[in-house]
Amino acid sequence: MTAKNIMSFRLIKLSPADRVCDALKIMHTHQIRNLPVVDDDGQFIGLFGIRRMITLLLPKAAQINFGLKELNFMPDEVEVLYERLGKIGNKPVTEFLEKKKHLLFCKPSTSFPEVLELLEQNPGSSLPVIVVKGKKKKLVGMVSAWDILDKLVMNIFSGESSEFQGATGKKQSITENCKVIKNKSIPDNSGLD
Amino acid sequence: MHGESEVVSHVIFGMDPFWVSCILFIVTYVVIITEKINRAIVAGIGAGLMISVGVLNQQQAIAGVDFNTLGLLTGMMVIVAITRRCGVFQFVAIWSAKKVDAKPWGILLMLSLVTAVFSAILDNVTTVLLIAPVTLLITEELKVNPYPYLFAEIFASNIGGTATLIGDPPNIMIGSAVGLSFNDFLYNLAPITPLIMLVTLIIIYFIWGKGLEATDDARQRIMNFREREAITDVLLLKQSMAVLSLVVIGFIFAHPLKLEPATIAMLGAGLLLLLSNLGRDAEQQTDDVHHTFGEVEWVTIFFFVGLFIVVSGIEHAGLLKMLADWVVGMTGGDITVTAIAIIWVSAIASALVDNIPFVATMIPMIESMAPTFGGTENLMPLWWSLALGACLGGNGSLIGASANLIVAGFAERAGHRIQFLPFMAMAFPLMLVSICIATLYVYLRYL
Repeated sequence: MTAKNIMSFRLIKLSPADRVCDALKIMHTHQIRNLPVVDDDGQFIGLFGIRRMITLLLPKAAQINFGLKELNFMPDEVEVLYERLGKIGNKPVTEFLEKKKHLLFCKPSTSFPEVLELLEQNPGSSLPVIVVKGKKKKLVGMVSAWDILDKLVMNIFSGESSEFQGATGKKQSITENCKVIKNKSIPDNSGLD
Repeated sequence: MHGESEVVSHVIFGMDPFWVSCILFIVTYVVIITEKINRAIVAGIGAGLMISVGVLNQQQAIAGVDFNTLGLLTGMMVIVAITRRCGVFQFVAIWSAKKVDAKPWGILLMLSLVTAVFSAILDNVTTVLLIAPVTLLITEELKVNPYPYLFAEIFASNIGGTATLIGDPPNIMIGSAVGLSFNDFLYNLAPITPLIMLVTLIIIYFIWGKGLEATDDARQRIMNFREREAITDVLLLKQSMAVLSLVVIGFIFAHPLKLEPATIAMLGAGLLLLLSNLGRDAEQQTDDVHHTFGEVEWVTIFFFVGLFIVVSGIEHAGLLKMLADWVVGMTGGDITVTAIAIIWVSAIASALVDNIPFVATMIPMIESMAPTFGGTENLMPLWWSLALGACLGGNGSLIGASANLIVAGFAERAGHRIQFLPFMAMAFPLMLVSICIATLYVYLRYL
């Protein structure tokens, strides 16, 4: 099993000219945390992530490295946030991409343990591993922790509906119901270019 | 001083230790100046080679390292690393901004003064690391250009650092090598720094200050800041203020007690580590101490170690004595001319290259001039000239002092790039003004 089997490949992509406000709307509508930006040839340019939105709402002095870490002395004003959002909303997403050094890449043929290791390195696992092909880094897919949960973990566990109950009900460990099905086939993204 | 005869004669291939050490020294300094390789690496390799090729033996190399400088720097870095966590620096910055009703020029004045005072007690890099982010926040809220503020803070940090033994690395090195006390610096250098600061601020006022304007709304935003909330740990605040005060008192009384400032700083660091870790379990303590030591700037410390050994190499080989004789020959052995030459050469050199290697070289060189001027006690004007020139010269360009680069780094990350040449066009003449004042001061007081 390689990255190709586990990645999401039907991605919503942004083009370099897309504005921040468009990207945020797409994220909201489709509940996606990270959107790849590609050029006309499908070459990967960068990643626009929801984490960046939070950063952009902060004052500059708190956004930067070694900047202010405590802002509890600042008054609770929302208008300033509107101002900041207004300023950046119409700017192209390319100005606010995730830093290159935070991005993790792999090839479609990258082995599964390596993909897991890349995801694990990732701070907070909030960024996906980007699957690119060829010298020109053509984007073919992305693997996030969700892909692992969705296509692998949930497939391996048996589908028994666990009667897991919250704090009010009878506590029952979910692992009691879980049975690992070995040799279960993993959906394959084969046929993909 | 040390002649060639003292050098152990096992230099490889039978080469002259004098030339080997000269070449090693020049190559080390050239590579440091190009800034292509981290300076600690360069100094470390230079030092290792000085010993390996036999210019210095092991004992001479260790004797060349000034552990007092290292201890003082490390101790103060530990104290600051802990103190900064309580938020007192943000508190003082915001409090001072509100004291002047958040008027743009008033804030520039206050932040500069705060920077100067902190720089006198702490090292400049730490001070600007703490002040620059608050400055960027305040100027962003005020909607004014942060450049004049950051410019003034760079000057304030280097001028404030000149005032005390512990304010700037050159002073630490000079004080330690010559045996000058905290009080000596306070008595000899501190009196002139307020005047230099005042003149600098007046010039900055005429360049930018008059044009600074902010709307009432923007000023109100600053007034709405709740500076008390900036203090995140009241207990730690009390502990660190108590320890810092003790350390400063310790510095004042260190000399009569025959204690080196490094001992005071290290004791203070130990005490603050102890206090801030009271009541914690072993694992938390290990974690905290590990983290605190991680904040010490080891690059600077190891840079010092390497430099001390490299300089000790050329000192043993006799190069510094030769340079000193040459300088004395040029100045005709006149103390006035020598002092003024040192102040100006130091200023211009420190503006263009790191002042730490420069001062490390100058100290043994000046020491070897003692016979010419009739004993070490007559060298005092030269030491003050070196301190004033090297510390104030750091203002001359962005690369003149580490603090300048830190401020420039913050400005760039916040989207207000400080460019090298435009900065120098303003800063270099302004630095020369401060050197004129310093020259006049040294002349009137000591010559």
